[in-house]
Amino acid sequence: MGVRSDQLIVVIESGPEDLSILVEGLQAAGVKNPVQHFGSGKGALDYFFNRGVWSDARSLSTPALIFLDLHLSDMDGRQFLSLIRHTSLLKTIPIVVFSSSPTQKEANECYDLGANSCVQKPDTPAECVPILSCLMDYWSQVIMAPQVEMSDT
Amino acid sequence: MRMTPSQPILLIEDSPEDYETTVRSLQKAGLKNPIIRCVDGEDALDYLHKRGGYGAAGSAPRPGIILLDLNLPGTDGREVLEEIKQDPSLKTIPVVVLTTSSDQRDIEQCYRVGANSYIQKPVDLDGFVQSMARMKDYWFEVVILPRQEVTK
Repeated sequence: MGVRSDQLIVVIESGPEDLSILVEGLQAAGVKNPVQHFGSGKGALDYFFNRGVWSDARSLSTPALIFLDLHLSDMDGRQFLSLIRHTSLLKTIPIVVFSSSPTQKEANECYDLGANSCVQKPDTPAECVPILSCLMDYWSQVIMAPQVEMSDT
Repeated sequence: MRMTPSQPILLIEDSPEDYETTVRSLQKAGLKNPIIRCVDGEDALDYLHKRGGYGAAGSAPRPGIILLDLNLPGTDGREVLEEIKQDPSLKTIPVVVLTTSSDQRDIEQCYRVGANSYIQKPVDLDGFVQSMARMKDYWFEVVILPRQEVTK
């Protein structure tokens, strides 16, 4: 079974404009999944490693899919990718890297570090909908998703 | 920077019927890229490492993406996947596992060692054709694939 519509999608994106294009695009594409947004790499890492504001949270939902911006305000998306891929409990979570205009070198590096795919960020809401529809069709209807549980309690 | 029609797809599949069905489904979905078939794990590793029958210059162009069956005679698909993802020169090539297995252990293990996606082959033909069309749209229309810079 692929990503179910009740499963969490984590969006890590520092740009407010890009974020609203993405979130509105998901809605317009008919995606019903709950979305948790983080504006910084550190904010997302706190969530994944149960730290900071999340340190008291008992059981956090594990995302079925992560959308990661390559250029975060506080860290490079590649650094984030590498941390997740070196953490046994998190390493199977599918990660799709989004970037405005990645160079071929950047795209290659993302694959090298274990990104499941690398996607060019759509510039406008109109461009966004067909891209996100295709992407979500693939991850929800075509593939078999790993079962990930990030809290081992 | 999306897939160009010259980048071949490497399809590692021992079953002639499954190979035919996959090729037809992808062509029906509008795929123009050449599809290269390797019939088992050894053949695939020879191709990727440009050795054995693939030693001649230009005889084994680097694939843009690999479609990998898991249950292969001899060197198993799981071993092929691990070898690709542990090799610094090959690991960037996206590997889509395409298999009849729906065993959760296979799914976990494939993602753990670096499979980019895991697809269970739908048993009905319509379902299979539709899956291949969506797979083709995703990897060939939406995704930016890795590409080696040509160095001379």
